[in-house]
Amino acid sequence: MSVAEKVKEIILKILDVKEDEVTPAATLIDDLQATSIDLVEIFTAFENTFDVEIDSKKGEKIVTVQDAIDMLNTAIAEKGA
Amino acid sequence: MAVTGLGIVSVLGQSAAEVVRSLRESRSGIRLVPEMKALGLRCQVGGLIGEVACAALGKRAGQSMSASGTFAALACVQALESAGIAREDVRTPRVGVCVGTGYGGNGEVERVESFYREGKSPRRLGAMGPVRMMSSSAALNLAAWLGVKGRSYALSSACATGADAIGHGFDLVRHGVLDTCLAGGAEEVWRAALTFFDNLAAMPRDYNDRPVQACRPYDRDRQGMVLSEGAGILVLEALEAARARGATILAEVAGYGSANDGADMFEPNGTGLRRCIQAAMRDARELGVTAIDYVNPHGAGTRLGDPVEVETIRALFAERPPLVSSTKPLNGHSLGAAGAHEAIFTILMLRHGFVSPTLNLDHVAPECEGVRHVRTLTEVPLRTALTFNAGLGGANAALVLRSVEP
Repeated sequence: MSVAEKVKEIILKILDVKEDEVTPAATLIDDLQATSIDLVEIFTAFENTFDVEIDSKKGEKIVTVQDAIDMLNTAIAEKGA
Repeated sequence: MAVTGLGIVSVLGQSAAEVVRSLRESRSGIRLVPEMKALGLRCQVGGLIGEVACAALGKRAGQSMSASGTFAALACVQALESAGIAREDVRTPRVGVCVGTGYGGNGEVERVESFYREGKSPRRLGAMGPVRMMSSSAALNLAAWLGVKGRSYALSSACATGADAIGHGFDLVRHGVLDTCLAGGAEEVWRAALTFFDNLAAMPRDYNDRPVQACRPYDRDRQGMVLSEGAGILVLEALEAARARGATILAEVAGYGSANDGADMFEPNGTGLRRCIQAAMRDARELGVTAIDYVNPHGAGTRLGDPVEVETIRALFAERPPLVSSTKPLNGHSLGAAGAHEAIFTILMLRHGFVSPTLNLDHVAPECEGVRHVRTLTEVPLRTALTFNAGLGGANAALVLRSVEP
């Protein structure tokens, strides 16, 4: 499963949204209605799933689903380097 | 006070119909628990619910509720349905929640401990913990999930929790603070409870090969209680209001009493129990209750507790002795849920006209003689019943229930 697919799976598990709503351009807070606690849970699930650290600076930059995918791809690459 | 709805998650079933069947047929929910064996506990039997189907509660609820909260929510769905109350009708300041747990969402504490033990980063735990482990977790999750806007809190008094929560709900409605109260108790079994009760020598040790026989209240060979879990919720409304909306009235709560021994944290002396029953009977007498047909006692099967209860029942009801049976051999001791479970069992027996016998009461212990122990299924019309719980910390609570003429 690709990073993008796993990200989508995590978001669907935590947020009360339909699969077709989780597009790359969807914003977590405005479009997908994530609350602050949802974001904590989503980022925690990212950390556990991909074994990476998402500090608050990285977290703040994540607005859309695609932002999350990009950030995770970078973090995974850095980890492997 | 009308009970217009009830809902239950227990090892005897997850609907009123299933529970009635289990009570009638003495189908025990007590099993061998492999995890207790693996932990090296001397008692290795219990009543665990296992996985429950909770997808209907929604994703957010699934995340913020611990197991006990999930049990309470599932019981609440049944309770509202049986009361004929729509979800949108509870979203008012006139509806409240009083649901207790003995110990809160302690499964969460164990998750944290195991994380640290395994050397994982604490950040990986997420942040849902506080609302899953707080002692008001079940009550406040219910309020948020249902949209209830009136008084909502947990009430906790060890093994008397469920009865006290229902009694407090009864008080809130009878004093006009609320129109409707969702009241009851919930509990999830977790390792520390199993361990400490095992160390207390309060759980049977010689019945691991015969789990169904492990809990034997009032019996010569009783060795203690068997832990279990689940939830029970009642919908309480003023009788007139319930009649006015054409609700089916399942039973009436006619009295409530609560009192402490004010003595020892472990050993009951019977004084608080006697006073709480007297207080509940005083309430009930005002409604014309003069006698009790059936008593569902705490009946946990402990060496110390059982004789104290028998003596109290014998002394208080000498003129017209009621039938007595404990449902704990079947359902186990569900701690904070016990009072709610047993109120529901009692209501179901009132409604269906039978008394489920005390299972495993093969030889009544000399110190437990003197009351009308029910040892076989007894079909009998019941008009009034008393259910009580007596717990650690000297806590005692009693409810008088009455059947309602159709």
